[in-house]
Amino acid sequence: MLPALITVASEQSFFIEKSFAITYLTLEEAQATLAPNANLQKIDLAISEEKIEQIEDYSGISFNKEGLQIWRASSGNFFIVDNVRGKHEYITYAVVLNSLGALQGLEILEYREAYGDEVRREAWRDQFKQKKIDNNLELNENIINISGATISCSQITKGIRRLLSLHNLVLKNLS
Amino acid sequence: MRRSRPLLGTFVDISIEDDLLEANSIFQIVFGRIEDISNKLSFHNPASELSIFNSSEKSECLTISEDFAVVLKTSLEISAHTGGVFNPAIAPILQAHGTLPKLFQTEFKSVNESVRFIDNFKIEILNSVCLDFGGIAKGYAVDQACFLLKKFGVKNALVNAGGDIRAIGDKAQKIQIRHPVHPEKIAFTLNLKEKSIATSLCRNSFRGQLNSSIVNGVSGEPCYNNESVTIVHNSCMIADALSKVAFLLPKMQLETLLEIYNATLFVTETSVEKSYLSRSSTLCQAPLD
Repeated sequence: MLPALITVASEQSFFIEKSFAITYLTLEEAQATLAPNANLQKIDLAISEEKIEQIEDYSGISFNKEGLQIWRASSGNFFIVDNVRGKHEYITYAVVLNSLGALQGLEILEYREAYGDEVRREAWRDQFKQKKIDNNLELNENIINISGATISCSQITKGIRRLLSLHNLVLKNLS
Repeated sequence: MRRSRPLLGTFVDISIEDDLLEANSIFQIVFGRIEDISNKLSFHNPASELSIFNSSEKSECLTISEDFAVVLKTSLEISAHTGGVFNPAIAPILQAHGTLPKLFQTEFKSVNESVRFIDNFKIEILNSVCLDFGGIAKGYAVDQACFLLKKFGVKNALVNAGGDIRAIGDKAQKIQIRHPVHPEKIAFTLNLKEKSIATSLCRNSFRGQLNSSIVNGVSGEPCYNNESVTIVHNSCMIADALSKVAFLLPKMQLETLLEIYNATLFVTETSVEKSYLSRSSTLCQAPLD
């Protein structure tokens, strides 16, 4: 008999989780948490190929302008929403960089995992560009708490390097 | 409310079930505490307390923080209970395999022969040694996060640091354990109430090579198989550490260890045709189909 505090909820196992998504914060919640009362103005980023190459060299990952959203606060801080991708993970996160380019805050907005054919489907990829969840896709909205193979945060670390480089090469020079 | 931050080399996910106005502040402080522990115990950070220790010479005496002292003391205790099989001084082997960066030039040896406590926060280095707390630090950080949440009056919460999990409160939390070979599959689920779990597996792919961070602390041999072990214990630190040696100990010694710590073990084995889930109460195997 197992102790009362530990029960095996399901021994009929090996069901496949095709994909799941955890939403931690909406964009609005992230802005309220990281940049409250900041009077954010969205920026349309113009960046040369040469600068993109420098950023990719420094960060070790490719630069994806489509996945980036940048706002500037009246204080000179930047609120940025970015995405990084591992083999099966796709992560949307937000950072605040001050006018000197130092990291002031970070929050994960969404974490998604998918395997197999799912990740190659155009619709699955496109949802991240549009920042919307398509309810027709197979997303498991049940509460997910997973123990097992550890997911490394190395991709998001590279993503942050990418943003720091972007600030250094482009954002700090914006009028 | 639920938040996640990249910390401890993985993602630390904290769920607070209570409806609290000050939840944002609590998250900030608890993540800050985890970052503090990570900074002290990080092998990769040259300024960490661990790196200062790893750079120290034989006969040096060091004053250490409470975090370092607790993790080191617990490591020495578990090392003693496992005849040295649990050994944070396997870092040189992990460096050689590429699991850890090659930062220190030291030979592999036993932690119990290499450091002793002079008092609660002072240690003497008996032999120059290179430690890595990767097998215990995440669990320790989870425990500390939970203590802090309780201190703030949080009644129901869950902290998950890369699969090392502790649940606090009356509400049972459903935990999914990944299949060790097919991570897109769930092997089994547990309902966890006021307990911790940690799951370890022998295989991980690093730059295309098959590596294992499960290394016998006596022989230095890595363990490769397709199993995973899940330990359930009150303390996430203990669960984390015991999950690292469950693969390496003979059955009798493992049973004794689980009894000493009052821990429960789940093993997910995979063979060619069937997969098994076994529980430590009997260590017998029941096929799952």
